[in-house]
Amino acid sequence: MKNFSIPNRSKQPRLKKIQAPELPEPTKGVLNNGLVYYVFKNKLQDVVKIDVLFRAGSVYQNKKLVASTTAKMLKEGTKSMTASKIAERLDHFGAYLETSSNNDRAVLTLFSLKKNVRFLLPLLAATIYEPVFGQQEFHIINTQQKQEFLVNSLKPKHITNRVFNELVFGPDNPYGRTANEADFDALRRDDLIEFHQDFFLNNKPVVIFSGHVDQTIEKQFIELFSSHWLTASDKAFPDPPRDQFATGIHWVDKPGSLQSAFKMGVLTINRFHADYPALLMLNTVLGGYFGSRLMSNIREDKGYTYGINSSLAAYEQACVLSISSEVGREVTSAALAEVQHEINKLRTTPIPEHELSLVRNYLSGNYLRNLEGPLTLADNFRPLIFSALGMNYYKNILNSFQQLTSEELKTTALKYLDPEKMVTVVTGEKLP
Amino acid sequence: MLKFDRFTLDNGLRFLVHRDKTTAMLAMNIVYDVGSRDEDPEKTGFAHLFEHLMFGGSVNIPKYDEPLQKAGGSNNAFTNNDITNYYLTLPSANAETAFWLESDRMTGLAFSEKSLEIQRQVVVEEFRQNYLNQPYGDIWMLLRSLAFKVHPYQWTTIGKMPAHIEQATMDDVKDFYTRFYHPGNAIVSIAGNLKLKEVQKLAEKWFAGIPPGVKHCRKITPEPIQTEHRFLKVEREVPASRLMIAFHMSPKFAADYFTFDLLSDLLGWGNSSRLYQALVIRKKLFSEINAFITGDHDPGLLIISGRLNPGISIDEANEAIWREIDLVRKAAPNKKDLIKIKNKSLANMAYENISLLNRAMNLAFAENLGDAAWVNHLPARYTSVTAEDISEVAREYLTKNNASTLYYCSSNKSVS
Repeated sequence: MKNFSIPNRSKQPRLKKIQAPELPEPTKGVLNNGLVYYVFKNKLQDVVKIDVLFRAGSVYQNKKLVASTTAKMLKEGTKSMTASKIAERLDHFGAYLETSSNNDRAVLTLFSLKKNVRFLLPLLAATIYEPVFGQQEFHIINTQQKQEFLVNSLKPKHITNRVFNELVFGPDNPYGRTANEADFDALRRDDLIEFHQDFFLNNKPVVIFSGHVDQTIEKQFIELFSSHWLTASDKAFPDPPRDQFATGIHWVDKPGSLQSAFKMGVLTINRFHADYPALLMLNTVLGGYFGSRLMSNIREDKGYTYGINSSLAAYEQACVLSISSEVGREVTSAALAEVQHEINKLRTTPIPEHELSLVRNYLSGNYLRNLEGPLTLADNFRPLIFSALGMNYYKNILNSFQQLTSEELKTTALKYLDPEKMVTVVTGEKLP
Repeated sequence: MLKFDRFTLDNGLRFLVHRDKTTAMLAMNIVYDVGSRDEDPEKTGFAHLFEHLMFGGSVNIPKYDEPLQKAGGSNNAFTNNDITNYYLTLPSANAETAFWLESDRMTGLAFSEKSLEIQRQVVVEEFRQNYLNQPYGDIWMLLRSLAFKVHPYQWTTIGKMPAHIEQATMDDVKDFYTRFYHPGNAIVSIAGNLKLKEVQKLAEKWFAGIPPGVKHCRKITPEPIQTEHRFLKVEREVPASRLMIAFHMSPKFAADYFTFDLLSDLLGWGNSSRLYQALVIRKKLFSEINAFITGDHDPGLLIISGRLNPGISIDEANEAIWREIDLVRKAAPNKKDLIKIKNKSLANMAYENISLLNRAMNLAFAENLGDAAWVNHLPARYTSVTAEDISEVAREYLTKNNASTLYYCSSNKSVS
């Protein structure tokens, strides 16, 4: 038997101050045509990730589904390669090319082993410059998307999200517009070709490299990306949302549903506002981590749900704070009342010091976690590319976390977390 | 090459240590060798319910999460048919908190009626949210009970029905803890910037005093060899019909396990795969289709799963899949295809190991199956598979008699 003393289990081992994560700025390059690219070099793993970001999200479209389908179809055939050839080539090199879009942006992400990047950069360029939007491929993708949409339309959480967005932004605001089944049938191949012309060919992207990027890769990139966008102009954001469209509670009736999915939230300040770090901290306390007040109360104390959380969805021109969960049908009203109660508590009672210090530490650890590994800096940099801010943005946020006081947070809660101003959507069976 | 060291405490608890000097984070993973296959058929869903109870406080620590979050950490856990796995990451400076927390819940739980009552409700809500109140939510329950008649893989981790969870008693909980949650039934792996010596010191300090338990002897009756085709057709209110075919295959890491994996890749991993090219692109029968293996420790399943396009007859779609199966049975894949699927597997292993936590997990999983060093042998195991191996496995296993077919039909007549 080895010697070991019996440890004191009743006390947590002494905690050390969590060191701030390293936040190096990327190196910046500018091509002859004005295209800006950033490099986060990291030689630890032999992988490379390349993000090409366009301001070509759904807010820019004049017809529903055009932006997302255009992005999706970029890799479904180019002038020199069929869709099948492209898929074959990517799989052969064990690489991934994701082409996707959200409200604000379209993003192409190439993820590959370092040694194979040179075979794939020309393909990446071709999917941007010369996609053909073949009629057959368009039909396949559009059918897939429609089916996906119909399946999602049966998911209580999904229905709730859709209606919630409409009610926060209004059905006519670019952020509030949602598609319906008929929009898939109305979509035409020509819509995509036109959108591609305007928002990919005549609209300069920003490129971010991360991982084991060497000179050969950079040189090849410069050759491939310098001769385009000579006359491109930057796209202005169409119509930033100003006021929240609706308040109050809205039911989507789903008779027989075992659970109710709800989302409650409010249009709020965007990520560059001076009060944003405080709001981020309040959001964490309320429902931003496993030990949050909502989780402790509604899941761990009452057992109403498998999970509940609050989050900040930061768009380019707006930000929404929301709380969402799926709860048992019978306890829906009770759960909603508890959420209101927790929000009000933040407005009336300062957060106790021990809870505040826990959240500070949790958030510091979380930033360290988010920045672990060779490719994570780029992910964190992505939201900042169209702003003048660099990675310093995160340093400032981390500093704010350390400095904000309970009183300041209470003031912030009074300013931004007002249940009266929130809109709530519930999908489920409304009990008498 | 993933470098690691291994040591075992006197109470039987095994440690794996992977040092990464470049990170400020520490990952700790603990796998307990118990899953839903170890459950009583009348008390299914229990291993997973128990996982929830592991967060309900231990002898000296009333709340697991609070001190971890205070240390800047974050954690989660999952249960599958074979194992229950707990993992956390935290700033390496606070490593000792991880040892304190995990050793305390290996010492003893603070069993409370309230905690059990609440977690029963939480898990029933999880059951409703993910399996009952979702389109296609019951598809895995149907397929598993069709493919397995004897082996406990016939039920899913969430359990057969909410009633089983509602009936769990405190005696069941205590008995389960004694049987499965002890040093001899667990493996701890640690990845981060800690020296082996430091880990040994912390391991001794916090875990060595935990009394050893009795390693349970798993007595699961193997699934008898299937001798005829099984078929089930159900109708549900979903927008599109789905078709699934499951074939029995070899246990995890058996000699031909890697051949099965590559066979499934050839058939249906990604847009260049055979099924996707033939049935989505050329014949337009499916809107999506893929093939994969379940990766179970005991003999599991190779599955082909597709969603039908509107207006397509499910019988016709089924026949088309079988024509593709016949092709792979008749002829070995060409060199180009073989290189492609191997490259893809090798690249994915490299991508997976970028994450510190994944490295800790993979070491612990491999050790639990036999030897942590296997993580470094995997590339060679894939590379050595030949084209002939693939068609041979296809000929032997991708047969009607070894297949369970599920028609999950849309009751929406306008669709098909």
